[in-house]
Amino acid sequence: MMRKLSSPLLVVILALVSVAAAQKYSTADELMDAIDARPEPKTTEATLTMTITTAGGQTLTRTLQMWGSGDDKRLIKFTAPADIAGSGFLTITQPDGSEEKLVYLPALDRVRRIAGGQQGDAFFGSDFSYEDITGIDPDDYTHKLLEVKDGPTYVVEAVPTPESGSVYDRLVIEVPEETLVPTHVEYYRDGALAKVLTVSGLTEVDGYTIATTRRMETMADGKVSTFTVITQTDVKLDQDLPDELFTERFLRR
Amino acid sequence: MRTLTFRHATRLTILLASLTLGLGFAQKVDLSGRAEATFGVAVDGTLPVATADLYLTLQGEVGSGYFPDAAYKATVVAGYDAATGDTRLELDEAYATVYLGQLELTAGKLRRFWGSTDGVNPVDVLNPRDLTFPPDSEKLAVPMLHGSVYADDVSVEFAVVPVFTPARLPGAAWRPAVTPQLPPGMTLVGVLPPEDNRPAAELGNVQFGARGTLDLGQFDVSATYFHGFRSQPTQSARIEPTGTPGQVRLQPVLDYDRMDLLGIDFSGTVGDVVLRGEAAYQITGDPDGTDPTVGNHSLQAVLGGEYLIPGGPRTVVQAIFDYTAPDAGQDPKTDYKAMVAMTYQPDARTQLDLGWIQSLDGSGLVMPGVSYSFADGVKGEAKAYVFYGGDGSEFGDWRDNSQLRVSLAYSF
Repeated sequence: MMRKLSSPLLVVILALVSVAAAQKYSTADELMDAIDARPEPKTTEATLTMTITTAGGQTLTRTLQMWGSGDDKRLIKFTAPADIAGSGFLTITQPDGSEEKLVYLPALDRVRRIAGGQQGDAFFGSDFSYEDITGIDPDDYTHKLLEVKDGPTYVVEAVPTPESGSVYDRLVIEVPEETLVPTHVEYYRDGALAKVLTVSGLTEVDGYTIATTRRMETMADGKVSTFTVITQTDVKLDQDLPDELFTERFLRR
Repeated sequence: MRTLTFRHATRLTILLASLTLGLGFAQKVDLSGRAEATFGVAVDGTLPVATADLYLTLQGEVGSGYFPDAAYKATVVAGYDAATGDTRLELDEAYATVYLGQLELTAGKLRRFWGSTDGVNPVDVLNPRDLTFPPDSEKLAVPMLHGSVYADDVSVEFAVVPVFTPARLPGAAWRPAVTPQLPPGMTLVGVLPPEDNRPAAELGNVQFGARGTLDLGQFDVSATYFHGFRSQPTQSARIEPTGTPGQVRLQPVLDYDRMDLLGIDFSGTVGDVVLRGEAAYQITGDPDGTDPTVGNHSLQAVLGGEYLIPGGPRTVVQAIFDYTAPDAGQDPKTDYKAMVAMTYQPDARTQLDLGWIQSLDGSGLVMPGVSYSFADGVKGEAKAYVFYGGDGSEFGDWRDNSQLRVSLAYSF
């Protein structure tokens, strides 16, 4: 006589089967490959507004102009307020995978290098670090699928390799299958939740799915202490951006 | 310090009006500025500074694209120092740049930075310094033609400085007391105004330099050559008779040494550290050290690193070495110093800074500071300058000049 399954266990099994049937990717590697295969614009140009909210609730607002070429080159220049206008940040990934990061400070007329260990430093006083702004090559992480939520939305753990130079222990990333754009990232440092990134305002531009709003919260004792919101406007994709744009020369200009 | 005259004011007003109206065809024009008030108090109770300054900058571009046909910038500074009663209206920087493919040419009154290290830059000699307040010693804009040529991983700069501009000398509070050796039976009854032997504006005194930089990805290396004059004078003095037997006056003499500078500098990342180094050798016209009115050969070298302490400040540590060739029959002068600079931002509004220079003679200078952004473009700053050391030491003689400065600036 067949043994009768208890009803709670049956519900769990049915749920798992249901999810397995609905989800498109069964492993983290498959998901990351799909994200990697998502069409990306060759170049990006956008105006960014960065609003920093302090623990006291006061806000500071900066506007920036950003240019990107693939995942290898990115240039950001501040256009306001006046006391930091002209400051800029250039990052170039070399063919050997190493990154050259340069900061320009007009008050000093100096271009300064940033070392790998400095990528955890705050990006011009915001809740984003240089690492958060530039990101790290997905190949520098090992990924593990933790769970699949309704949607389906995949929850993936990404652990940076020692060679990556990341300041984080691990990241927990939520990726809706529909867009394959990470919408929620938890950053853990020294075993504790350090930051939470929420990505919203997904929109279609020239056939690409673009996130227009990123909110980075810095956590202290499990609560949000400060946060920074970056919004993108005037997004232009697949423009012809000259190589001279991603040079120290233009960074200074 | 220069004083405001009607003639100066008229010229500057006409200049700004010309720039504003004449460049109306420019496609991008921007007027910005900064209003700043600074107040200082020294340990001896004096008020070394109580200034209100206004900086107005007009800049724009002609043409379009990432590298337009040309760009221009002009900054006028108006200020008043209640501590000294000085008023100033100066044209600070005023220059135009043309973009000719990989060549950029800039002409006007400007500043250019050469070098890699922090705070002390042996190869950075294009602009003289304003030594009125030596701890800050800001660079003075000077008339210059500057060019840059870019080609892949190599860039070459050249500069021509047609007219010599000396450094702005420190005020009386920053000058060491001079006790001349008088012949027996002579009495010093006065000091004459300095005889300033600055190089005349003539073709033979045109200064020029070149600098090449090789970008190796994680490292860049530069070599520099400069032919010109030291902007800080070699000071000497002679005794002048007064007409009264036994009474003399002192005649200070300021000579600006012709020199050729050879320099090299680099910066690069090694793991989590940014390494920086810079060295320059100055060759003067007195290789034997026999002419008291000409300074001797000298070498200055700086080597250091920058590291971000996890969760803490960005920290720069540098060693500074100075060597001066000897006068005839004497030993060379050498000096070692250490420098530490730390910057920490506990939040978006606050920045803490600490600068520290320590000499081997036991004297030094500590400069703690804090700045706070009250709102977008509104920043306040407080900074202390604390000199310590014994009498006759490098920094100890300036103990009485230890002071606190507080400033508030609005940028728009």
